[in-house]
Amino acid sequence: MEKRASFGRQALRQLILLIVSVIVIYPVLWVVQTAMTPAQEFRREIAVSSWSFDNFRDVVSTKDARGRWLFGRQLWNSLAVAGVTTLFGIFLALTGAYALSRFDFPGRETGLATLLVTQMFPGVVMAIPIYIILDKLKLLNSMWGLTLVYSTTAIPFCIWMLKGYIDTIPKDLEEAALLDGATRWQIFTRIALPLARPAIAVTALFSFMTAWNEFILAATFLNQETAYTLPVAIQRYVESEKTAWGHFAAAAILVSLPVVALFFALQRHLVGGLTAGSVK
Amino acid sequence: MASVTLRGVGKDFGATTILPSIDLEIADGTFLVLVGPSGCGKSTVLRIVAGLEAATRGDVAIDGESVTDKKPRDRDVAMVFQSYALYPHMTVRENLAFALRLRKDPQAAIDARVAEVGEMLGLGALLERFPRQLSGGQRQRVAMGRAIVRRPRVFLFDEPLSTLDAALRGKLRVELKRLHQQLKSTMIYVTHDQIEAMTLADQIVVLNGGVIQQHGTPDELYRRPANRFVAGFIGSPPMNFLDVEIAKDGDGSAMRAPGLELRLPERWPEGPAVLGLRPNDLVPSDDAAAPLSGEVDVVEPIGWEAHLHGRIGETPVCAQLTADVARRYEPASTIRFDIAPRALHLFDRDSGARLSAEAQDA
Repeated sequence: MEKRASFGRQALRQLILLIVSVIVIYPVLWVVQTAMTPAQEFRREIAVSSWSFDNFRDVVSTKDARGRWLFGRQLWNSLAVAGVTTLFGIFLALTGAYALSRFDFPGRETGLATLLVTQMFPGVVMAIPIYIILDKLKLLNSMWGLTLVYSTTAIPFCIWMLKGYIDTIPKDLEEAALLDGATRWQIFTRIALPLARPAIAVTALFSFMTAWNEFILAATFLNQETAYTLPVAIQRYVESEKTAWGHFAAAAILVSLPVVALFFALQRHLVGGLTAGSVK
Repeated sequence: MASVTLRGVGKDFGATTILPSIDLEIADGTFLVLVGPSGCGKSTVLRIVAGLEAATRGDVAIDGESVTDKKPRDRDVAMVFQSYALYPHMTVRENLAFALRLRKDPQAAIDARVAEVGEMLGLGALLERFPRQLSGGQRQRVAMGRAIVRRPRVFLFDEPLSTLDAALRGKLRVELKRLHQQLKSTMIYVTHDQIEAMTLADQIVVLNGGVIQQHGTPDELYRRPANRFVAGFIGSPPMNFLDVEIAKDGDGSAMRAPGLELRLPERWPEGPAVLGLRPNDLVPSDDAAAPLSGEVDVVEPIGWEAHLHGRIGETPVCAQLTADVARRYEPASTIRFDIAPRALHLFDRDSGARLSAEAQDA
């Protein structure tokens, strides 16, 4: 039996937890409060005054100069970029990771090391060369251009993550399937994929979040309002002379909702022990 | 139902030769056990037959038709893995049906066959369970069922019982034997356990260092081991070995070693040799002229029998006696043994090859 902590220790423990909780919760509360306060002012303290959803309504109904629904367009941009990045990235990363995990071919080790090296440069460093490439390819201000950039940054990490997981799937299972008459592709789709489900879910979430939240590259490559993704659009509320804090906070909350939703949708796949009972 | 032929099959991993060259003829319906210590290449032979490993040289034929260049799925062989290798995300039913589904059998035929095999292996009540919900023995039965369900030409078993506890291993061994009697298929079974080899096999192949040491029936291997390795590997407790000197003695030979003095009526090659004696061939004797004498060290009673560990000269030996007889011997006391002439196994001291008596009319 663990000895009961003395009152003093208990109190200290609770105090530390309380302080940490406040530090964690304060920013969230601040954003929520600012979003719910119609005045576009900056306040440090959290205090309940008048609550309203005006800021959300304003943000969602933003229109461009020609009266088209700008927020909808930008939401679509973000969803399209993040969605395609995720699907495209997962497909390439899965097939790549499977090959790197299961097949022996010249350049395998070098390839893996190279993938790792690409992760060592901060994205910003690559902004200018990528800008030049996109310019040459006429892909500036285009969703495809941005998707391409996000995929290339996300795939190496996804490959490593998926390869690490696929490595843990016993090879015996695939050999058994091979003898059962399965082709390589059938083994990939019917054995490896179902068993790699947790890793695929995590990787999908990672890809989606990377693309969804990315700001610097998007701000560099997009200079038309209608091509903006939401993070770039949000920044519009923070201007040097006047900041619309209420709109900014409301937009920030709206932007975080799809990620939360995706997380809950994928959560049921994040389970361990999928290969339990298969070997030994 | 098929015969399997290996001609000059060899395997190198980089610069390391695992199998120099294996020639093996396995008749239709034979239960052949490949046995040997770990690392002897027995699993590699099995994997080459399965097509999971490519042979560096040589040819594998099933029913006279070369399958060396065929993919595993085109060989019509089934394998039971040491690790079971059940598909963890499928139920027992789906595991059993997987191969049939892949070859697009009609659903009704699949259902019937899965039910039949499930019945045969006592898995009927477990069909909707997942592998993780099964015990070790049940999992191994599913693994066997997955092989049986396809009616393959050849069954391959890679140490299928080695992860189970002793009691279960014994039970499944009997089931496997019954299965072979029922299916009458060609089965190749790999194990390092000589008891499994002896109890299951029609034919045993003993492998060591990638080289076939002997190929024969369990009885042949037990009674007439071809060399010292096979002699020491087959049989439990293992055969005792004594370094002896053989000299000419009249028409016959005399065999001597510390604690051993034996006249042999036949003429044996003179010089140093190794005498092999099975523990159950050592018969305690009260006769002071008995050829073997040693000192008792420890007596291990095991129910109706006992293992008497002692020393002849400086060599430790084990004798398998009935518990009643063993009880008469105290530690540190002297014990004498008689040996029947047919119980003698003599081996060359250097090569380990079995020695034979020279023909009488020489």
